[in-house]
Amino acid sequence: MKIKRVLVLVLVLFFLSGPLRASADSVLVDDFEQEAANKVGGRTNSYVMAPSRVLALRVTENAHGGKKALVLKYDKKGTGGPYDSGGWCGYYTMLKVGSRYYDASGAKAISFWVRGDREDENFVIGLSDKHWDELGDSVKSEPVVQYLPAGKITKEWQKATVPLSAFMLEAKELASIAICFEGSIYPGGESRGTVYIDDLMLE
Amino acid sequence: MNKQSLRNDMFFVLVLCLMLCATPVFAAEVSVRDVPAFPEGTAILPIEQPRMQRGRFGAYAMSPSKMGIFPDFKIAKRPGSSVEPMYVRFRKEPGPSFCGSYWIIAGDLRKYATLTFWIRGERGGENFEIGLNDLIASRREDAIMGGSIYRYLPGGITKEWQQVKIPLEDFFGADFSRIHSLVFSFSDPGEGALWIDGFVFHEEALVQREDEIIRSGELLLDNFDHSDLNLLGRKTNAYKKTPSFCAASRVEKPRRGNQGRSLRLDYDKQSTGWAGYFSLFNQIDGAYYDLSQFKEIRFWVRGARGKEVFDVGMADRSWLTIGDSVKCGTIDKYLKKGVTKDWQEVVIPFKDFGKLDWSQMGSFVVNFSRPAKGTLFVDDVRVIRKSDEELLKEWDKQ
Repeated sequence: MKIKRVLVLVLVLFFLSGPLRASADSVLVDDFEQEAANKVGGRTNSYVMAPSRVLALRVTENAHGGKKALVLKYDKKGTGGPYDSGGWCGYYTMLKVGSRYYDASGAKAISFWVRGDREDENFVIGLSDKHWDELGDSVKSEPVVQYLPAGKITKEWQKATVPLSAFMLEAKELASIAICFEGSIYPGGESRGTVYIDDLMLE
Repeated sequence: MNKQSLRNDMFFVLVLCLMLCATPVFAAEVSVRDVPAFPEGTAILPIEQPRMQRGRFGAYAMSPSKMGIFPDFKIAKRPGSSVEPMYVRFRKEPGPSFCGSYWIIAGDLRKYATLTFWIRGERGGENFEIGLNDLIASRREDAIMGGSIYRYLPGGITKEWQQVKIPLEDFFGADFSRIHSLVFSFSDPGEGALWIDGFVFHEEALVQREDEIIRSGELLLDNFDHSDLNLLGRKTNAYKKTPSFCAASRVEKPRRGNQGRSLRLDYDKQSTGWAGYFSLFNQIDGAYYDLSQFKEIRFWVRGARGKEVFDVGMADRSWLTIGDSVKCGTIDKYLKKGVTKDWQEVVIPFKDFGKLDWSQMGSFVVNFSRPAKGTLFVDDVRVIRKSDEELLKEWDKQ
């Protein structure tokens, strides 16, 4: 009887420990319910170099989970600004808090939910570790449409999963995740649109 | 397997599950004794060895000011605490003498984001400034200051225990791998006593000031009540070039409201030289402040005689680099009757400063450009944020 009980316990613990380990490795970086801070205590903000521009706000209509989602209105120009390349624009969320970098060695991917207004929107994900943070830049992913089930941003929410291996960075010391409206992914180097983002995770 | 044993098993599994789920909650905070040591190879001078006892409190004072700190065995322990609180008694005399106390950390704080501790006062309203010493600052005897206790307890110290939460990033520029001590500096003349207890370092960032700014719709840059640093923890000061002159001080009379202080500027602007006052938005050699979602600056002003004239300036990164600011014009443009002996609020839209890079702002300036001598009082400098509706309207217009 005792052996049976121990076997039952071991089996139950075995099945329970899997999901628990998985949830411990999945970290909600931001659900955009707060205003300027994300869920890991880092700051968030837009970045811009004229003449490009971006506006980051929270919307309460049609959020993916919870009450709010992030909306990014972007206007990436093709000319003007430094090197006549139209400047740059995007949004970042800091994983680094103070002088402490973020240890994401247990994570395999960045995931988030995304939708657009016109279905022709696009952007890339930027990720920086300690080295890239010191340079003030990030390593960019492929265009986000390549990580979406539909192969494009749609008016419905879709989950994008970007493997960390795409960035070849030191996952033990991450600094930030960025949503970058890069000229190189748009015809003529310029584009204007609106995207909605929710439930940004490291998993 | 009978019902009873099944119940026992299920209870055992439930307890184990709860323990597994609860584990992360306890992982991210430590007392000073559990902070990692300095990185290997850190040079400690022989004279510094006795001052590396973690958790030790001490006091310093220059006569005639006085300072004392010791465990208080008479007062009841703070609820939830198993040790006696430290009793801090201070008497800061007017003049250049000083007094304060320190708490030795002697460790590597790079993985921590927040320091918390508990405090209560004998009368309430006690004030001091908080600084952090890395090894270099400790050797220079010049701590990196974060601001007054009012920056962390806006209602001030009371007779009840309150928890203070300090983001460690407030101590900009410190070498967090080699932190020596926390400093409490009593710079306001007066005497009093307070108790402190329960110091804990947290990996989690427990303070989110920018959320509060967005919620309230404004950034209070300075109320001049408790510190020469502004409420962003940045430096402020008068600037002058002879033969012109300007001196800044914080005074109790006159002031707006029932308590605190206002800024007093005594100036003597000659035909050459310059005179004025600045308050920084940026950290020196650090990040600039993003005001791109703000629309106007507001402050209150009055003169000692009335008819005082000055310009208001603002500087972005470029203007700060060349040591100047963009002026929006003289104050008469914003006050119909000009400066009087009564408090009046000045509202200046950012568009009046022209094309600054509002995402990288450096300073707010009060500049005396016309030859004159006088005294001006300023209080409650606030920057007002645009509403979401205004931001969207502006976006659609471009």
